[in-house]
Amino acid sequence: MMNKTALFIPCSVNLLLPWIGEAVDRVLKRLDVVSVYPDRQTCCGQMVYNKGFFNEARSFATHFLDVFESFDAVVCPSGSCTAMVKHRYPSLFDDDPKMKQRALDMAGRVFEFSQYLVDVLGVTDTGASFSGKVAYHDSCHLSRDLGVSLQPRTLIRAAQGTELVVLNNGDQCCGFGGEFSVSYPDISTAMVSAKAQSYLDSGADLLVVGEPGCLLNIGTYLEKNHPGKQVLHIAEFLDCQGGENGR
Amino acid sequence: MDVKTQSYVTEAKKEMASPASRTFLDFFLPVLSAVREIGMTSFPDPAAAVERARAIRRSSVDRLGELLETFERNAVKAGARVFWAENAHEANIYIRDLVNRHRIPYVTKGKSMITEELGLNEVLKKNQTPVYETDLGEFIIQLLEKPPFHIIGPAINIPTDEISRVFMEKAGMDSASTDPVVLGQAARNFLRDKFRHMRLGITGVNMAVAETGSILNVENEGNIRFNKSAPGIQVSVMSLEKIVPNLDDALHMTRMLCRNGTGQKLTSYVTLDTGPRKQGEKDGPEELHIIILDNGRSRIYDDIKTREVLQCIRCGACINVCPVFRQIGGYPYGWAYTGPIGKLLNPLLLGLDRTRDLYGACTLCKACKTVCPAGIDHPSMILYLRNKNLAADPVLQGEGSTFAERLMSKTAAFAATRPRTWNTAARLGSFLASKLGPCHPLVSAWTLKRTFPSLPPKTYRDLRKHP
Amino acid sequence: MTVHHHDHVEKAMSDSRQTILGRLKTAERILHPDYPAMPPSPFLSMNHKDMVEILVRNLTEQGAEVHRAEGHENLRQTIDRVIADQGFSRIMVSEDPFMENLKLESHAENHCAEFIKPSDLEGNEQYKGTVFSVDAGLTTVDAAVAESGTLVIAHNKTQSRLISLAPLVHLAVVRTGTVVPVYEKALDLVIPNGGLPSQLTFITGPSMTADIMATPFRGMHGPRRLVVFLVDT
Ligand code: SF4
Repeated sequence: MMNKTALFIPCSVNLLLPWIGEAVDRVLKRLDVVSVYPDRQTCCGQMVYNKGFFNEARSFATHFLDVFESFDAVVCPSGSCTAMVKHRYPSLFDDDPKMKQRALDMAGRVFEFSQYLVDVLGVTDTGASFSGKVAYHDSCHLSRDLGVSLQPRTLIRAAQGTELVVLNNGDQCCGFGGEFSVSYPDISTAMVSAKAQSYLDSGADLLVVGEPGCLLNIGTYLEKNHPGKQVLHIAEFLDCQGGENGR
Repeated sequence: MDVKTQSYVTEAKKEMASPASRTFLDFFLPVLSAVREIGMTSFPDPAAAVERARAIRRSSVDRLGELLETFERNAVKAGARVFWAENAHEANIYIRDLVNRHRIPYVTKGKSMITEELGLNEVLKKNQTPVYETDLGEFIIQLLEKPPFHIIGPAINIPTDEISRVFMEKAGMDSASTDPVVLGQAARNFLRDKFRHMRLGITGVNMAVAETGSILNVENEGNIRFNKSAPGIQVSVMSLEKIVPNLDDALHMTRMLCRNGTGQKLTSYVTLDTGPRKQGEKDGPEELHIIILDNGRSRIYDDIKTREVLQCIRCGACINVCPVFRQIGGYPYGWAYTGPIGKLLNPLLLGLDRTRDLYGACTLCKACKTVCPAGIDHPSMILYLRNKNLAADPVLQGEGSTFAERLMSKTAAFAATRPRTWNTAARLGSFLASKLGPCHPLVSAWTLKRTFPSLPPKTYRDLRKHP
Repeated sequence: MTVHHHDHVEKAMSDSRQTILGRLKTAERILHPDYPAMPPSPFLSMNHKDMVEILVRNLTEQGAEVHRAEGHENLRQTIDRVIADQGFSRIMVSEDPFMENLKLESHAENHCAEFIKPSDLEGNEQYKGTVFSVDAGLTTVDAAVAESGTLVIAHNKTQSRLISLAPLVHLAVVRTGTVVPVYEKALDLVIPNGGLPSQLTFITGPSMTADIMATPFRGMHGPRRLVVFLVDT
């Protein structure tokens, strides 16, 4: 690849789930993609934006553009952060045509990880292998905001030994929603338990998601209530080679 | 109708623990959504049909003032009387005076969200005028004095023994039964007598056609038809956004309303009224009163960001797919409208200060927006409401932000452009959270059913720099 | 009501009208582009025979019973047979030209049903008392729409509203010549000059509800049975 590709690593991955970032690195490397990690990156600003602090979110957007604008492609292992940049940033600058244009230019060059692999690199088989049944949870922003739901499935199906099984209500929200899960824990718990139930019912050996937030939510719920039932990020899954556990 | 939007969290907890609600929510909502998907396939190109519907609603709302004037002119020409009510009080008084002027012994009503919004039943009750809801679901919850659970099935969660009890007590049923068919028959018998002797019927309006001055209603039971056929006086209340430009648009939107709502190609009955009964006709109202209700909508209209909510046609699709509604049902929304559309309409009509949990308790999953045939972007508007609330917007009665919220967001925004500060703060923050987190009351609610994520020794950033 | 009070209402109303319209009309306008194109309904290009079959299929799916007949004589016999089978004794009929022409009452040799016309009845009370108590209501249908199996009736002097609503059974005569593909075509047929009747009713299947435990119950308020006589004329 001659393009300059940058990695944008969400806060949740950086702080809590760094191995997802490492998995992204390894998978890209396996596919001969040279990626850079711009050191000055901070955060997409989704947290403040979703609370309703639009003005503050503009600082995040401005900084993001400063850092990433010079790259041909920006890859991010999170659907919601990608959607924030792609869809929310332009709307933050309705009163600033210059900034709006910068945001729009960026919007066309930011990709969620699986989307980047399939749509940009044209890859389907990443060389991953996992023997067992896998269910895929469609994260809200990934599937409905970015329209990414076939790409991860294509990648999962191509993995050696993997059978992709149906997850009932697979595109129903797992109840994370960032601050939502903390402000409305009871509702959030009811939602994640419904998701866990679908997973159990699906008969899958492994649940794969494309969103770190969902991973945290579903993962910590499973750990407490259904120990042994595993959930992996799509990058971790694609990083699996031969074993049953990519971690 | 009482405003109970502030007990959202407690009501939600109650509902999540209620087996009756659970059965309905877990089973029927997914079924309703599936039926909707089948219904939509009867359009030759469902996506194009949705796009057309969205365009019709957008343009109708855009031309609202002009279309309302045209509608009024044509409705009056056809013999209807049109009354403009700026608020619920004006509408209620108009109806009450009509009832008193004609010495109406009781009134019957077809199902309408709008009269819930008006609180009309309470006003008539105070006037000593009995009101009979005639939609089966509405009839049941009226007898039980409960709010509607769902826009399409107001009483769908009520156990049959409860219905049986209240029917025996208040609707003349002789012997107990838990058979829905027997209960339905009992309601039919009771209400039939009301239809037989009714003198004033009240309905809502699903659509008002500007070009012809007609009003259109959609239903399955036939109660609205009775309310429009049997009495001497018909009062139809429409919120002002119900307008569509012409008959062709009305037909397309009717298709959409039915197929996207109940999944039926068309509901059992669709009626289009143009003026009252004509000379020589045997039935139909001698007087047709159409009330155009504002009740805060022209203010919503004034802000082009909130205006979009007026495109809603109340199909209910967003409610059925909402993952939060699927857990808590309709009661927590605490007022006339529930589900995603209730998260917008209730705050916009009641004020942001007492509806915080409505626009708060949303994961922004966009399931609602995806199925909305009216082109409403609920999540974006929810964010807008959050923003207006923090900004203490005077029109929408925002509360303003707390000191802590301001501090957090300002600090974050400051650090966002300063990588070093950001990283130090983020590390420190997550370290503190990991130490203190499990004790914090909010976090302990999370950890009740989940483990608390442990903090890895190194961040990704550290690993990348010093592998 | 006092005159004074009436004035009060009138005044409030014109004020409100102006306030509301004023706000709506001074608000910022966003003009949206024209409606996007939609592919034409496949029903539009269907031949008439297929359209009729689809109508029948849709009607049946919704729980209507369909009887087919050819010509007036056969239609009378078919109606008579159904009425006799069901043991209906009093039936209210609409008075539209087609029904008048059918002269059911003069051909009712094989049964003892009584056909009642609204105009036979004096005043509102008698009409209502009768229409709420007859065994069935028999009406002509002005148009039948294939796309959803919908019967369209334009209510007027000869087509009273309650006949197809108050009795427990609605007997509806559909002439194949009035079968149209989509609702828009039904309007063209029923109101060729655009003059709308006081009420236009679209009937799709019998009255129903699922309000209790989502259990279907037919005949909630309107007819429990919808019997369609499809006649080739
Ligand atoms: S907001 Fe949209 S989906 Fe929800 S009820 Fe209104 S029209 Fe239907």
